[in-house]
Amino acid sequence: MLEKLNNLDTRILYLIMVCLATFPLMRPIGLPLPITEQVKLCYEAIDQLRPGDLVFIGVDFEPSSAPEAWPQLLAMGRHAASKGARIVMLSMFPGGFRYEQQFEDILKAQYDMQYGVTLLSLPYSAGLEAAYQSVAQNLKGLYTVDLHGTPLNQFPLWNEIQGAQDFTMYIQIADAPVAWLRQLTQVPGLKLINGTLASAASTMAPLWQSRQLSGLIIGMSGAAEYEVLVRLPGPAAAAMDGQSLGHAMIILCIILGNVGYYAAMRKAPKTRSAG
Amino acid sequence: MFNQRVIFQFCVLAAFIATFYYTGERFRRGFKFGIRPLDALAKMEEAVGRATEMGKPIHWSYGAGALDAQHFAAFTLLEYAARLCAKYDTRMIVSIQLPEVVPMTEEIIRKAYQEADKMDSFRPEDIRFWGGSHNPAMIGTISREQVAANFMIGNLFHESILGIEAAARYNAIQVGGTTNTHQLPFLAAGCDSMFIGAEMFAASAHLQPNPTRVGSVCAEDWVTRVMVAAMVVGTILVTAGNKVLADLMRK
Amino acid sequence: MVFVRTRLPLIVTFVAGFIIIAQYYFNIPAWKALSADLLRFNVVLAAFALALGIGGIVRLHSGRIRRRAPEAPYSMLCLVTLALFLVVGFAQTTRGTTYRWLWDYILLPVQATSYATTFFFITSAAYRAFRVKNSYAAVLMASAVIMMLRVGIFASAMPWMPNISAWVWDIPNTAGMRAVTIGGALSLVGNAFRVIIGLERGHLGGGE
Repeated sequence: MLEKLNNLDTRILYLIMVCLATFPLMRPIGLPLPITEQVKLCYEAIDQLRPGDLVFIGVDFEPSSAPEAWPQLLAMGRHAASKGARIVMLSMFPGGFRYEQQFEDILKAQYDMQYGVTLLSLPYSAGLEAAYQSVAQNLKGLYTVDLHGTPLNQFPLWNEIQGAQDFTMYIQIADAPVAWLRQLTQVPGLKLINGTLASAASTMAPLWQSRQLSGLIIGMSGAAEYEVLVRLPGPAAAAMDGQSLGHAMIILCIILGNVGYYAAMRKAPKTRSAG
Repeated sequence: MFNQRVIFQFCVLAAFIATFYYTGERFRRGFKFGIRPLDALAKMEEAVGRATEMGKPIHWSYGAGALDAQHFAAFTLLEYAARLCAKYDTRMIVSIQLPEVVPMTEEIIRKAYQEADKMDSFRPEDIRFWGGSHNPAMIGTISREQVAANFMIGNLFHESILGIEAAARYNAIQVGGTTNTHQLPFLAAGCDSMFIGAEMFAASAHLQPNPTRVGSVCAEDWVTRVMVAAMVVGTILVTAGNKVLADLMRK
Repeated sequence: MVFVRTRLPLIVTFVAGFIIIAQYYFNIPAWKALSADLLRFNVVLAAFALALGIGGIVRLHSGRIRRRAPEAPYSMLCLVTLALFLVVGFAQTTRGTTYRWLWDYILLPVQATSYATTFFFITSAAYRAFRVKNSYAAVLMASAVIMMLRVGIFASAMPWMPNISAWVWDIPNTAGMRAVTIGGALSLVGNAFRVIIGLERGHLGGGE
């Protein structure tokens, strides 16, 4: 009987997963959300920003990563804006520019930020690690126009900046941005904060433990915890119920698969080995 | 003139280069270095053989990550796989996300078929650039062609689990390889064999041992041993309250 | 022709690699300026590589349409969409309302849906692939389950679980990842050095 679990139709499992993930979106359950130590430390790092501090925000994610990355950007970006920081957004991924535009609109509307004075959006720059290296070593040489095509020398904020060394913090929203870290650690005094996808948590763990990163937010759960800390519940907090139930289902799938596997092995005829 | 902030890094690089030339020269003079056989290489050959028997193609993907040294290691393994496919007249389909990798891939595979004198079997349309739609295209290719073998070697991200699961439905033999630590658990769970991190680069020394490659692998090995020793000594010193080595290594 | 295909790329690689690496270790203003220019060239090259990719896509899909392959209708759709984005992009730039509409209501949902298939693949992987066949697999599964139990309902039912998850993440996971990262990084250095000095030519079609 149990060996039948070894050959379940996976479509049944898919159907159950879809129901478990979508039901809480319609009827929130309100499961508790413990705050992890690294999210608290990340919050404290951004909370120490003073009015006027220059902050990079790297919008380095594609639409495919947006469900995890966008809530991180909203939570940390709004926190930095609420501390009065001056924000310069940039993107090294082709798909990031749209999120820059959307977040720019949010900052202008909700935090009364003045474009060109306290806020700037820089365009997509190809080359990834080469582009990060240029940001670290020759920021003014890399960009000549902003995201909207306007020459940068028209903006007081840009004219005030000499280079990356003027910045206090770089908040990078990206999937395992090791190339970013390699280049930006060269800038003395720049605090590095990363919001990464859940799958990249293990990659960033050594970098967090060695404190090359001042803060690390992992996946949608990290974004949800951050939303709780800044008291701005958003899309991540809303999805956490579904994530909890999804995790439960994954664990159940692992158990079912192993029970079926061992039951089938026990029932299979034993073969004698030759010799 | 010298950047004092990176002095330790410069010393490590200099030691690496010196060891590289020293071991390469020793190899050239006939000294035998033992390079551990890699199970994944044998599995690749087995996979191509199985695909040939079944009359099904093999599938290759570099992953969706940016161009870096992993791709260069993957080129060596692609050359190996392409030579096997050319030898056994097995079809090889390559899914590519990065445009700059396409001409190199074409050149490697074309040369493999040329040297096997099988140019009429070479199919340039099987070298497929997909760009942003790499992941669904890869799944579609694996499903439509019902590949017998799936090689995912390079800068892998979440597409690794997609490719692994798609190929597993057809009981394909799968070999993976990446230095991206976040994908290693998926490769370990889903692939028949894998190159873990540095093994991708060591594979080239195993396939075609020459002073360059053997020297490089040995230099990496020796520097790793020195690093491990430094970590052990440094840990003991820091535990005792002495941060000299830790501060030195930060430069 | 041999010079252009093999020698010239090696020379360019060596010169560019040497300048970029040397400017990191030596504070010579002329080299730093040259390095900054090279990085800008690289950014431009990467942008042109996208154009190369467009050529590849057009070649692949037009070939399918010409051969009337079974997937030809989808190839036609691909080329039409490519042309639409190019035309609208050139006409309006990425700041135009039509381009933004196409991006927000076609590209974004399609890419998000494509990523969302991971949801189903992880489910089937959990059922099919995560089987405890040996001790290593047992350790892998145990650690995976411990990490999944640190959120939501599990954390409230077992308040000590997040601490165990944090320990697994901080100690064994970080140690293993650090080891692989260091080994991989040294191999990257070796490989990059071989490519820069021209001893590794796999990307040029192999050979010594």
